[in-house]
Amino acid sequence: MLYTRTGDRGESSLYNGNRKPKTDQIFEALGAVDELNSSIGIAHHYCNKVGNGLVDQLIEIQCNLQDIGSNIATPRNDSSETQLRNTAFDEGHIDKLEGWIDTLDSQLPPLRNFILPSGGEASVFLHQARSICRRAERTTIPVVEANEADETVLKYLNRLSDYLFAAARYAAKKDELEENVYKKAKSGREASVQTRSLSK
Amino acid sequence: MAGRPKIYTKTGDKGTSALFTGERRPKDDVVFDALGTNDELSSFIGLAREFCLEQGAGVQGMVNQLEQIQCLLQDIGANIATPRDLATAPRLARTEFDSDGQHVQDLESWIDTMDQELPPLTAFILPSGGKAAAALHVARSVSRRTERRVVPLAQEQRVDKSVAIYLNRLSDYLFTCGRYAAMKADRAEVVYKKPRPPRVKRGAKTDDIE
Repeated sequence: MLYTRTGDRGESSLYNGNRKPKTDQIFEALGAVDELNSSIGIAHHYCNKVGNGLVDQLIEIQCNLQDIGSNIATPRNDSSETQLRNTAFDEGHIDKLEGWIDTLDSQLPPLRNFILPSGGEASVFLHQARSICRRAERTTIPVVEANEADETVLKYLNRLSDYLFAAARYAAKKDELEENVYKKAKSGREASVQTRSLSK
Repeated sequence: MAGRPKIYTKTGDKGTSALFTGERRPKDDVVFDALGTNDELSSFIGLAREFCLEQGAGVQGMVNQLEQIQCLLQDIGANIATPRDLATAPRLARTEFDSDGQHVQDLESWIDTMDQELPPLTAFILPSGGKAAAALHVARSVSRRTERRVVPLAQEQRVDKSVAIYLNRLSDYLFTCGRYAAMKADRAEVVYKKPRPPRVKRGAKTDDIE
């Protein structure tokens, strides 16, 4: 059975067997990482559809996020040596991510403006994943500060939002679609008249 | 590659980020939570806009409006990242948001225009009505979360009140857009119906239900 009913009273268990309330910062972080993984799953679907070459990287990232989940769910300050060793998150994954970013970035036109989340289906889903990644990072900070998760996890999440940004731009380029750039909206009647005529 | 600045600065690896004032704060500070949520909102609007483009007929106006809103959310980000209680006068002036209320008025007139074409609301509607409409409903719900993150900051006068007002109106706008997109796609909106629990005891096999 998929449902165990053990969580009906608002608690969940960690890998070390301890039970904590579901509102604990650990579950907040785990939940955000899970959301992030799901949003990358959607992005993967759209990247796969157009064959832009990002899918293998996205799958590896999804596997890494699973490992990050294990790291967060195994409090560093309250688990056995074996449990810690089995759930350590290696710094090498960050180097790999940086390599991917550099490769993608070298094929992109330089950034001259703020860009808006735009540029086709694959690109917008990658932007969405990027913004969720930042939330995952924010929710993981207090967990790392409490020595419950490894610092490498935080570093990876920080670099991952940069990767997803580069990947979103790359996807737009592969789809041969324009990225919209930020323009300062005029204030006052002029702007409002202009947009109204656009909307007809 | 030489001389090209890297996207990743690594300065954030220790869990802090800088505000427009130069001050560094932990990334889980309420300001970054508000900024990050605002960024999520712009990304969800980007997605909804993409589906509106795909849907095409009848929602081109919305596509332009959504792009303008994404630019305004960038301005809102600048306002949030420049604490009103701490920043210098020139910085405050540069990052002022909607001081004359015109952007909120734009939203209101866009809502009114769409609303005239829509059938009246007689039941709770569920997020539904096709891809564009469903994505607009998601954006609406993220807009509400953004508003919840901004309201406490506005109350403490760390963010301009106009930002909270804009976000409040924006969720109404996105709700109306969701309904409008469904109508233009000729899709029925699913309405709320009270689900009836099956009359079977707990622990019975699923085959026994219905």
